[in-house]
Amino acid sequence: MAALKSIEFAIDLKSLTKVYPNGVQALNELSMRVRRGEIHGLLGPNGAGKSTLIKCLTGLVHPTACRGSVLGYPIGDPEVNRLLGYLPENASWPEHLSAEQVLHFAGRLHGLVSRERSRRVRELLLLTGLEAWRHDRPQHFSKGMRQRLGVAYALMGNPELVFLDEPTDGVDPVGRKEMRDLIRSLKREGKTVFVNSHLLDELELICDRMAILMRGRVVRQGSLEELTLESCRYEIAVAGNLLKDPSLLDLVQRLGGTVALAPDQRESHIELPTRRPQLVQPVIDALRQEGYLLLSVAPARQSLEDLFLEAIRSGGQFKNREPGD
Amino acid sequence: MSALLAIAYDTLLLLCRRRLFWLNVWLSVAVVLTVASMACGPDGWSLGFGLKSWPSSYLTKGSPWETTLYFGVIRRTAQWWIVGAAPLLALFSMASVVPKTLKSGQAALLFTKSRGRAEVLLGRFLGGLLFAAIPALICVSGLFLTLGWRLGVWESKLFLAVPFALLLFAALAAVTVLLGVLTKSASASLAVTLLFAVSVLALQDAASSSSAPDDEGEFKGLVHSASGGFLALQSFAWPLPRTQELMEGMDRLIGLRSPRLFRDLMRRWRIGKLRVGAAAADVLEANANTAAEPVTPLKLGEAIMVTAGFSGLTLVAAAMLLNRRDL
Repeated sequence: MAALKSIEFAIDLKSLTKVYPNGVQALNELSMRVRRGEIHGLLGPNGAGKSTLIKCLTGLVHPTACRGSVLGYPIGDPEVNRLLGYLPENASWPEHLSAEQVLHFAGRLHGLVSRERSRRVRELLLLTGLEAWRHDRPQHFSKGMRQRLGVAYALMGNPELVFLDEPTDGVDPVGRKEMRDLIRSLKREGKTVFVNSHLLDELELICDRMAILMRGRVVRQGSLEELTLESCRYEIAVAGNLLKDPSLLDLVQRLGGTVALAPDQRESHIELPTRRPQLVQPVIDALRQEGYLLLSVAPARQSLEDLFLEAIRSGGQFKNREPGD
Repeated sequence: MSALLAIAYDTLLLLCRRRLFWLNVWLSVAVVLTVASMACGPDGWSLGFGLKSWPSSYLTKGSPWETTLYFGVIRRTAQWWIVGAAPLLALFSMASVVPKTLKSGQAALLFTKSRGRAEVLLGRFLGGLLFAAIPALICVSGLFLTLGWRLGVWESKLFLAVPFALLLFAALAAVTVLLGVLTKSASASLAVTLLFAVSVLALQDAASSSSAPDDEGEFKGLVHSASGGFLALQSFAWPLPRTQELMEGMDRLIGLRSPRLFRDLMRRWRIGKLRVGAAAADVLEANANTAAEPVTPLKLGEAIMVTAGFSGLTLVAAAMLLNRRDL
């Protein structure tokens, strides 16, 4: 564990490739770094290789080629399993065990002695709100309850790195909030959380950094601010029709911006692709000079959903949208 | 080690929840009750705790034939139920364990918490062995108590049938595990394992009958051994589980009466019951006196080593195969 503290990256991948025996290339020289202690999100359309990536990291799938490590252990080393927690997307719970017995089983797999195991099981049942259903079998649980049991199972061995595959899938809004709080509490404990989810707003709320996966490669990685930096823009609302003013139109176009007229033709909206207020000033000055009434001037940025959809549409090829920077 | 035991215990719990387990247990109890229901009285013997009785002048209470009857029946029970049918029933339950474990939803839960795939496989196998031991122990314990109750003989060597049953079950279970990893299908692994078991029995029967003395007391084996076919048969059968030798070895170790006496008793009963003529009785007696080549301790040791080695190597092959697979 002493050596673990000196590791900066919980996940450090260089050129991870996975080609399945049927010839499908799921991962294509994927490189990625996840810092210790952060909540890292993974985005990508279906078939992007998200599940294969998590399976490679947890040792369930053997990479075709890879240089890299998980918590300092080479990829596929089973020794790292004692430091990992994993909530799979479609966990199939044993039919013969109750929720409490499932957790005891996980504790035994981690080598926890009886007293410690019982304490940990109680803790996790309380943490995930399953205390009242501890004697019930997971087959009788709702999807959300099964997910919560999966989180408890993943956390049983007090892992350093937790993989959560669609943790809020099937969970009601209250449960989602609780799950988000739980994930944040894991971060406070110093654990690294790697979340794969289709719920972009969920990721936006909890992730420190995220990666977008397309066709087996990471096309973007960074914090939400870093990822949407290129989409930063200023939106100016003006009373009147700017399309009839060629000098203003020319100025906006020279700055790479666009002008759109509202349907009622009483308002115009200028969009300037910049995050620098200095670059907005000439336009504001020109508008005032021409006597236009400024309704609003506001910085704006892409949402994660817009960014993700753009990534899909562009096939991972992002264009530079900051000509002035 | 604790993880291995946890997986073995989990496998045992999983298998004990199956209906087949209870069928196996109740059949074992039924077998014991059937044996226990046999009794010899002053005028003959009865079955079903006196429900059906047969008069006999020799099979009476206190006669040497009474002991022979019990020992013979218990020997047959050990051979056919404890070492034969009960483990086979257990195998039906066991066959689905590995394919289910390898399904992605369960594999993800189990293999990410273990230190290695071999540990999971070995745990499942050991759990299967414990599961197979339960009906065997029930049956042997019942027979032990029956023998003590009916004859006053407390023959603890009877419990040696359990390790023999487990040794033979282990060989088949290891094949099921290997096929489970290979095919991920319970029915396919079970069907091929049963085919394997039948093939082994047939092969070893062919190999042993080729070397057994014929009617004129000459060894057919001498003739056969000259041919390449017989040698090929022998060498092909050598590394396979030694079913027959283990069965005979079990008889010897348990130390029940010679099988000849029991066959003689059966012959007498058939003559009495079916009114077979004297000539036919002679033929039956001649057949009864045809003894197979006895199993020496050395041969038995070899059979145990070969069977255990076969199970071990099969499991190693399964673990190696599993280590190479994507889950």
